This record gives sequence, C-alpha cells and structure tokens, in this order.
Amino acid sequence: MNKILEALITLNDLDLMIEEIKNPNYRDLGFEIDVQQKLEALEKARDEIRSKIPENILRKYDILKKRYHRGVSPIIGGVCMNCFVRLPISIVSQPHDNEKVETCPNCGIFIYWA
Amino acid sequence: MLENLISEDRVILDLKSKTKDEVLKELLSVLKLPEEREKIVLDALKKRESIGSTGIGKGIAIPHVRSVVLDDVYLVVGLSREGVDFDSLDGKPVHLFFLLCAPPQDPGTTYLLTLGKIAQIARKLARRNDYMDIKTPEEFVRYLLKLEEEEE
Repeated sequence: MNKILEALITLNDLDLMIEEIKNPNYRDLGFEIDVQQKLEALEKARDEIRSKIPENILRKYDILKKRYHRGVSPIIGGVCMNCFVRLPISIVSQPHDNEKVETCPNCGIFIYWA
Repeated sequence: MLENLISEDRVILDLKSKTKDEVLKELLSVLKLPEEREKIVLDALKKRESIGSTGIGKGIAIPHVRSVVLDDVYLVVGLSREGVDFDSLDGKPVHLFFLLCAPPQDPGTTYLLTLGKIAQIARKLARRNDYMDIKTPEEFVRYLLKLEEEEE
C-alpha cells in the first residue's frame, strides 16, 4: 500500500478514536478512560502521523474532514462510501491495489479500494 | 440486534493466546482480512487499548475499533479457558472477549448502539459464569441471543 495513503488511513482512524472518546454517549458505556490525559497521548500520535504526510495532501485532508467529518473513505463495490455515488466504470474497471493516492471524482475525498 | 452480527464461525471457544496483543490478533484472524488491512485494524486496536483497557472487569473485555479499511460491522466472540492478562479494571484475567470492528460510515449509529448492547450483555454475563461450560459455537450463539432477550 502507498505509504502516504496508509498514513492518511491511520490519521483518519485516530481522528475517529479521538472523536469517540470525547463523545459522552461513548463514555456512558463504562469504559474507564482518563479523557484529558489520553487525549494528549492520542493527539501526540496524531501529530506524528501528520508529519509523515506532505503538506498539500494534509491541507486537503483537513478541508475534507471539516466538510465530511472524515478525509478518507472506502470504495465498496465501486461505490464511494462517503457520497454514495458509483464511480465511473472506466475507473472501477481498472486494477486497484491502493498503490497511489486517489480521490473520488464526485466528492473529492481520498479513497481506499476495499 | 445481535442475531444479525453473531455467527458460529465467528465464535472461538478455545483461544490459545496468552497475551493481550496475541489475543487481539487471534480474534481478528477469524475475519480473514487481507494482510495489509489486518495490520491496520490490529494497530488501531492496540492504539485503542493503549488509552485504556477495554477489559471491563469480571473476566470480560470488549475490544473495539472503527477503521476506514473495514467494509462492514463485525463481531467476534472468543473464550479463553485459562484467561488472559488484559489490564482489566479489576486486575483479573479475561476469559470472554467481544471484538467489535466497524467502518467509519455509520449513518444509523449502529456501531455505538451495538457497543451499548454488548456492554449490556456483558453486565448480565458478569453475574454468571455458566458460559464457561458451553462446548460448541452453536450453543454459545444460542446462549448469547437468549441473554440478549432477558430483562436486565
């Protein structure tokens, strides 16, 4: 897998985790977490991952995240799981091994071929 | 809710792992994800455990994670007869694991609802240990579905 794509996925997963532990509904489930202390640890890990991603891609990720609450989306069965639009057959029919950083032609989100 | 998620082929009644990292890998292996995806999900699970154990005490743990590389919500149930040190809240070894993995897109907040349902079942299980005597995955699935229906 492309290293930048892998870092974007890890960043997205970390952002999800950070969102999760801030969610009061999640905390009500009974998992004991010192939120403040652990948030700092997760944010440090996030900074480390961000340092591995080129600035222009990171800027785009941040814009996407603001707009869609995520920067990366899987493509499942030829459909982008962010905008739920089927990608053109000319793109879907090509082999995809996640060896390059690609975006959805409809919504612009970074995509992962699942 | 659980009946759509739980299946006999995702129940392991004889976990071999002795450590936290090993047991996460063993539970995840049931999903037969391609290697690169398995690695990403495993790393995310370990990262989640590093911020606070999902071992909720009374021998039960609910490791869980959401990841971009997953295409569906998956539940794997594992039983360790010997128990695994999972840094649980009460310091006791964990015998019963519920591994929940989900993709990020979650329009119906299924993931949190499922996690809540599993936590509710875990609370019921915490008051009993008859599940340790169950011999087959089929029996275990039936046991959990029955437990889900019971009033708390």
